[in-house]
Amino acid sequence: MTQKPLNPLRDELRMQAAIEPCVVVLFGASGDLARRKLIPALFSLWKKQLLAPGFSVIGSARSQMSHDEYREAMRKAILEFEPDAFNDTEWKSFAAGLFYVSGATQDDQTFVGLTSLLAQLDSERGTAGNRIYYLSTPPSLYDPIIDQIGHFKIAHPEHGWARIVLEKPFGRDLKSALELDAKLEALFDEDQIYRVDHFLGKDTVQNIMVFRFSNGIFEPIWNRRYIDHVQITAAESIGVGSRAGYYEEAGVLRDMIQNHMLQLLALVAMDPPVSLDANSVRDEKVRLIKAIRPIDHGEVADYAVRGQYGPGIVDGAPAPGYRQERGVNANSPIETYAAVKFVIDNWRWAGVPFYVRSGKRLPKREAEIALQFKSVPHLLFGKTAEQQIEPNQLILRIQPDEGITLRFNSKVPDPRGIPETRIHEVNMDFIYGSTFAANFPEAYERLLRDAMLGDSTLFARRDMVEISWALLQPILDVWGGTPPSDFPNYEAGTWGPKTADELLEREGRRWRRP
Amino acid sequence: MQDQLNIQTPRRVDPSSIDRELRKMWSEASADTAHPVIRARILNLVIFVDAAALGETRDAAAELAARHPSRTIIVGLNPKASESRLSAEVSARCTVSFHRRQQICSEQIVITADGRSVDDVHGLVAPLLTSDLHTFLWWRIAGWPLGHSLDVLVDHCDRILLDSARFVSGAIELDALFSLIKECGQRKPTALPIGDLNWTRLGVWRTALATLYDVPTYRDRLAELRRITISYVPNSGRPAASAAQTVPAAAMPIEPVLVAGWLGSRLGWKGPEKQSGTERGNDVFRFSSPPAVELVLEASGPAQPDAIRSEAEGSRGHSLGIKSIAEIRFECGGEPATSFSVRLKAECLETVVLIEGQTQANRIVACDDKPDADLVAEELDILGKDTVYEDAIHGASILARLL
Repeated sequence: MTQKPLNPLRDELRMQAAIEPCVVVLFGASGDLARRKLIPALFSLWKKQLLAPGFSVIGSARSQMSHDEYREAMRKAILEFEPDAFNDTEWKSFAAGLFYVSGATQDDQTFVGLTSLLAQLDSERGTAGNRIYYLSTPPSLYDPIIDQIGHFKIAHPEHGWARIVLEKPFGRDLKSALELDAKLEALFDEDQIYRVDHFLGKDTVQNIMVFRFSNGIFEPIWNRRYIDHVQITAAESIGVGSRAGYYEEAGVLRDMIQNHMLQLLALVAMDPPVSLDANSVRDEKVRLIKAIRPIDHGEVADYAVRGQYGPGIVDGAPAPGYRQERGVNANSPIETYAAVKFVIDNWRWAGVPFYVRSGKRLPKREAEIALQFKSVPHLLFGKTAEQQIEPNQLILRIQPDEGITLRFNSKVPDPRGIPETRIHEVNMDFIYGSTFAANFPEAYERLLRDAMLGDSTLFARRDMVEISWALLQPILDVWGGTPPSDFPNYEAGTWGPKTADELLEREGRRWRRP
Repeated sequence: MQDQLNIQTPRRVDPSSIDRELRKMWSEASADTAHPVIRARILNLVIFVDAAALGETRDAAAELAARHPSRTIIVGLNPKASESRLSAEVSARCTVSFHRRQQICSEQIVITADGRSVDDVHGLVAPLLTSDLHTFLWWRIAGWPLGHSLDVLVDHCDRILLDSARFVSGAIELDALFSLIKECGQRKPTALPIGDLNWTRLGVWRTALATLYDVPTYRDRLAELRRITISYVPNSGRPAASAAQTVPAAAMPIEPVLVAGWLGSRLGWKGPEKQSGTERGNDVFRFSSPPAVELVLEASGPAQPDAIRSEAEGSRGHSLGIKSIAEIRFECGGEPATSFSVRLKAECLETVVLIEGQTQANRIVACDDKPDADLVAEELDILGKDTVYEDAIHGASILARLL
């Protein structure tokens, strides 16, 4: 028997699911993420009528501001970062739901003001006790905020629901991740916790599942019988910029590999989930990550390579080395490049290495997953052709120039009629922009919407986070305990250190040049 | 934002060699190494239009191609021409993309049919449809989709798009529209779904109303819904009613009746019965479904004179589209006294929730009258039939019969 929909007017294919009225409590409300991404994303949802009329935001930060001053600051942020999206009438209507509570998170008075304002909004704007606590703060503030949420007993409102959203990093190693999770678990149920990995909010990342599981022709060859190896790349041409303080504590292994890259690996390698509900998808991802062979401390050099950029040329302009960047220690041992080989011990992937790399100040910004197929078992086309035949590749391009490319070999037409067959590798391209010609929605818009809807599919679950840290912990230990002797070991504007090439060369493979 | 540019002025071609000319055109375009061209098409779009409106249709189609790259075939009909002949033009419409590195191009074919040749145009169009791509037919002419060529071409189509705002006689044409949808739905071997740009246009109203039901406390109040009043602007050229006179049926725009039909079908109203002798000449219907609901269609002010309409609105005939509706008000029984209102205010849609006379929530969003290209772009995302729309038309047609 079908259930009658709660909202009969939403029962149509054009209308998106409804978000219940709620208050987003934004800690770190005047920070970069809030100004650049979160407030613009919420404003965009408002304009699309995806938020209830009484939807409200309470910004909280140390800076002293009135409600009106906060509204004005956020108005300026929209005008600065999303000027095309601004409409004064709509903004005024949205801004009427923006409020601000100033003060340190450790200060009880801040939370006294916050809880009183929450009650007032429930009564005046019909937000019904529903809250999202969004921690857009440095990780050092997670503990005091969570403590205060517990102290003021606002994790489980009497009416409505409460959820907590955290930005990465979720800890800086396995131990701190476990501590953070324990603290969260003491207050919240797992289904109230939303760990943001903004890569998962990207349409092209979500398309990996659609591509794999809605096309009958790929899944049968998506295994060790046909695939030789997989390369996952997230390259950036920029340096650390204004994030030196954070980066000096993190490095690329923590910043990219532990979260974004392992999520991509899981999406591309996992088995089909039984359904698309949040836990089915995340169960499969966790199952896959659990199947990755642990790397012993003594094997780290065989599986992982680190690098740090020195001065060079990027985009035609001189770029300083990492150690010359503002805010960076002149002898910094922090890696700005990492390449790791993962081996998956299961029936589907036995013997198929997954090479994952990420780095800063590489020649260009590029994120992609490349599956290289095995070579043909027997070559028919003579000696010349043998050297020209390349194994087929399927490349899922995440950003920019989002799309999918299949590389295969083709005969080169030869009007002179030379008997020798000449073969050339060609691309069959699907380019998102030329087919759908639509702008991709901002990842945060999707993630905020999902958090308000209570859909955690695109968020990292506790076990995934912990297993990922456990997998990388030996590398963190070895790298942390052995300062690099060769840093900087790659020039800005190149594809990383020589040792990264050697990681593949010793297995008879080479990195793609995206 | 992508930049639109046309790399070619349309070139006149012999109608019998359109395909050859297209190949030549692409070959020349690919020789431009400074601006590499990607030729893209994911669907066939056939547009029927009055020959007089070819210019604006070309522009609308080019905008559309930037979102849905297609082989677009625009058929301009000029049946009153004394001479009977077919003529054709081809051009490529391109959008600069990928950090200005490449151009994404779609092809546009314009066929003009004069005199009796309007009935021969299918012979030219059918072979030009790219195989294995979905084919949409957009009827961009005021009045009903009719004609021999159209009859033949619908066999090649997956979906027909029309715009009920272009119907000249307003709401009384809803019954005929329902019959057309039913007939197309029973078409053999496959049903032919119909899309309506007016339905897409009204999406902003529907969404605003739907959000009221998203809020649990509002939903509780809406369970006590007693009366819905839809204030509308009567169609132009047909004066609004005087104080005690019913608005003539032909002055009733389609939009308020369509929204009423949608509400009735979604909320499960049974009936309706028209009330007679109502105040101020409003159309009042009573639905018996529990609890009983009264629907009031209330003329709001005088008809909009044509002179103040924008060009876009004018090209739709009598309809003002989203501006045909001035306000939709929900009044609930029981305690506390609650009303919900969604109304047009300047160029915005304002949602107001009043509980015991106090405004509890208020939201204002922009309510631009979208150009046709945007509306069609939304429709091209839908392949099957839209049962919610069809149910709404059914409900609206029942009301229209009672007007």
